[in-house]
Amino acid sequence: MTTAIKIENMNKSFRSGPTVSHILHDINLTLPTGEVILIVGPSGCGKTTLISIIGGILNADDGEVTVFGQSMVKMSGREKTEFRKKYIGFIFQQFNLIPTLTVQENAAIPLLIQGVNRELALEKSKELLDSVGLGDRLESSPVQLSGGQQQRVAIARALIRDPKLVICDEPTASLDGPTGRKIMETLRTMASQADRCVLVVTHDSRIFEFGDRMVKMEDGRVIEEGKTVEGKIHA
Amino acid sequence: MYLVALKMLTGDRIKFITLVIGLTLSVLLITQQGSIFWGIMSRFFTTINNAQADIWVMDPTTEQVDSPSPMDNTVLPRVESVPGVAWAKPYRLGTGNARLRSGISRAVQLIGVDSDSLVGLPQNVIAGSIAELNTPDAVVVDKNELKKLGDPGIGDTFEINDQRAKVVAIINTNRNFLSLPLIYTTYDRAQSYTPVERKFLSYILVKPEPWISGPNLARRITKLTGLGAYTEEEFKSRTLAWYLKNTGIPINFGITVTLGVIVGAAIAAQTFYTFTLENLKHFATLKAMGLTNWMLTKMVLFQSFLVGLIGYGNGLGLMAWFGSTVPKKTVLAFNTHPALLLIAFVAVVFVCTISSLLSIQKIVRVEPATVFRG
Ligand SMILES: Nc1ncnc2c1ncn2[C@@H]1O[C@H](COP(=O)(O)OP(=O)(O)OP(=O)(O)O)[C@@H](O)[C@H]1O
Ligand SMILES: [Mg+2]
Repeated sequence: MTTAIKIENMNKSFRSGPTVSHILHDINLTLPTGEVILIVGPSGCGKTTLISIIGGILNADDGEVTVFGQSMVKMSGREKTEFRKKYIGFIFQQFNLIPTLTVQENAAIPLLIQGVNRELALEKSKELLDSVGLGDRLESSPVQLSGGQQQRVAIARALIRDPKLVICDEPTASLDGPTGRKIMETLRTMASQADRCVLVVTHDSRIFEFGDRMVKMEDGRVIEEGKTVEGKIHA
Repeated sequence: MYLVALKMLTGDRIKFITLVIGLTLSVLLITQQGSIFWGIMSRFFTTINNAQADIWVMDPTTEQVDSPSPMDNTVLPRVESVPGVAWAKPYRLGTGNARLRSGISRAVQLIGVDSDSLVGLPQNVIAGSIAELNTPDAVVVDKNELKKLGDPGIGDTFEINDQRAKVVAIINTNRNFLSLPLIYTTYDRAQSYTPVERKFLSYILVKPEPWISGPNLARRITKLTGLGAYTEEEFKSRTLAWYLKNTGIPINFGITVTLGVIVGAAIAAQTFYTFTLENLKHFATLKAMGLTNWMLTKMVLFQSFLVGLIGYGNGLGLMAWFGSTVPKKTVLAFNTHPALLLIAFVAVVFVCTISSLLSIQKIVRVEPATVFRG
């Protein structure tokens, strides 16, 4: 088991006009590979901000953030873009599918961004959509799908590049219980590979049991962190 | 990714059609207003266009084509003798009074051209023959204001300043600003139609030898004779400048037209800005997935260029239709300067580009954190 993410003395504040709001306070975390890691806490405590910094789409104010041994703090904007392309798959709460593209094209986008040729990208996309049970909806528009189906397209899209780190923000919030569980099972299979890591921000206690580890946050601080058994951190 | 950009653009039919209609209207507005403006401006120098001369030589005090200060006939040989002049022909631009058979009197523009060469006489013959201008009392009339002369046919007669005039040809000319009927005759006959004036010569139309450029010859004529000498283009600008300085016409029309152009550009900007804004979230998602700023910019530029091109094509089509139907039925001034087509194209593509870059700069500059927000 190696370290996937290491955060030391990290702070983050937002400035809007003259007011500065300090959102994350002195975060220290070391997270291993091979696990599904849940990040939980009340609304507004800074969960999304934290994973945005880990994913390289926000900058920390100070401290150190290392992902797979690479310092996010030292990277330029361009290097971060490159890093996201290479290592990270995102799953968003609102799915963020492009409605004017077909399901198959949506899932293929990360490969297209990488410059993979279109035929190959679509083929790979079909494979992944097959594996999440959407093989018969390739040509549909995302808006014709149910929420659960759309989230599965988003998962196929996140996994198509075989990323080492998958970052999910409330992936099951708009789904019913059974669908949410199915999605978590998929993510769990993915995380069980030794060099992988799945980060899941969630409010949804129904899926706590799928986590291997939990980070509890409150008010911009990590208040508890550890391995879980049946959805509870055990000391 | 260009295919993705294309699909983002055209995927939503209704939005795409709205976009194209917006840009079409904007191009239509820009080119149509511009054409009307240029149409009006060109009427200031209709006389120059009609005569089709390379170089215009005039009294140094002449400021614009329609009010020449007359010169003495003796300057003609002096101009002819300037080295580089292939030929120089007299041209008279004056007014007269035409009395129609019905007894009605009308002010006309009376133009006298050299009787041998007919230099300065438009060659668009609609009826009759301009060669007969050398027969007794012969005049050539212009089709545009024919009604004001009582619709004469070939062979019909009327009076100019109480002397007989016989129509031998009808020609097509450009409309002038005053909408006066144009009557062409020979230089000598124009003189005999006109009450005695000490000086009668309005212009000398000059053709340069092939070895010398128009502007060079014009400068040389001025230097050697002390007369004003300008190429056709220079004389147009001079005339336009005179109107600009001495009348409110270009400014007033210019303001109206500029407003039209600004409104057109604003429509294009607004339409495309909204479109890109609606796609902002998708662009942010793409960026989160590793799309570089440069590729993102290229996609948006591709979209704006494409939609600008389509809007331009449609707008131009509509404009051409407008230009070929409306002015024919009316006396609307309408003249599409070729530069205008380029201006409209650049304006639309430029405006789309700027507005789309403005709308995506948020993602390009700031980090794409918007993707996690609802
Ligand atoms: N770009 C920003 N500018 C200013 N304030 C921000 C910005 N992004 C987040 N915040 C603030 O930071 C705090 C934490 O936000 P964040 O989205 O990280 O919370 P969260 O834990 O994900 O909440 P939720 O569970 O509701 O999604 C909130 O008070 C939010 O208003
Ligand atoms: Mg959140």
